Amino acid sequence: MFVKQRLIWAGIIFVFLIFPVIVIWFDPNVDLIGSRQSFCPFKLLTGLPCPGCGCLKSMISLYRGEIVQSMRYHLLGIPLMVLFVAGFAVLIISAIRKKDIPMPWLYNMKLAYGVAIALGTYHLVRLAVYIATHSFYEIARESVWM
Amino acid sequence: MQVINDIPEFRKDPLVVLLLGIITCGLYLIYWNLKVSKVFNALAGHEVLSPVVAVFAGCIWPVNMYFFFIVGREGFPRLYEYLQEEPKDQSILLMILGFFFPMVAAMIVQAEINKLYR
Repeated sequence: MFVKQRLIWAGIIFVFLIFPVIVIWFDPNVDLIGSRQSFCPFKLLTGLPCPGCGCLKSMISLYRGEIVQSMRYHLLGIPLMVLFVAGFAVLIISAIRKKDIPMPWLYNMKLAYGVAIALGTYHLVRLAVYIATHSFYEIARESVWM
Repeated sequence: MQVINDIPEFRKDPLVVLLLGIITCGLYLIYWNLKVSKVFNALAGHEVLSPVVAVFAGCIWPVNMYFFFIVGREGFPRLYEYLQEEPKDQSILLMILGFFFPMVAAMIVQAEINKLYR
């Protein structure tokens, strides 16, 4: 059960890691991802980006070697990929060893609050820039209402 | 591991969770995840939900899936044990909702947490 569960999660992470590659290979309009309608339910509802909006676009740009563009879409794209690769490795090693690798920093409340404040601030700035650079019509067009 | 004895109070109307999630453009869910991880860790008596993962879950959908799966698989059994209710496994439902409609998953979890403070 332990090994099976770790392998399932490793498989899920692997799917998320290779998903941008599939998009790059099989989507003929991959160059237009920046102007496409988002699938984020929050953005479809409000027209405004959620804290995770742009992560996939950021990963696609990163895989194509466009690091600056990747950071423009979402600052978390690169750390996200590092996190996924690390998570995948940790899960595989745990499955092989048949025991969890201790990671006490994951349970550090100060670190959690620090990350929350950093992510919250980034999202607020991103939202402010988005609202300042888009008209009401452009924002509404991103939602399902127009 | 750090042992937590007291359960922090985190009673909210599920509708308020939904509204705050929308009004704050998802920012509230980062805070909400953090508070929920505290409640379930206190209920379990040890850490079952990483607060750092909880924060990332508020921003990254795949991590959110994982967060809600652990809430359903590890957190809810402790909650039902505390409430002396029949346990039910909602981990897959929460995981799927956590991916597509995180705010709905949050509402379900909040409704269950509220039972603690009846």
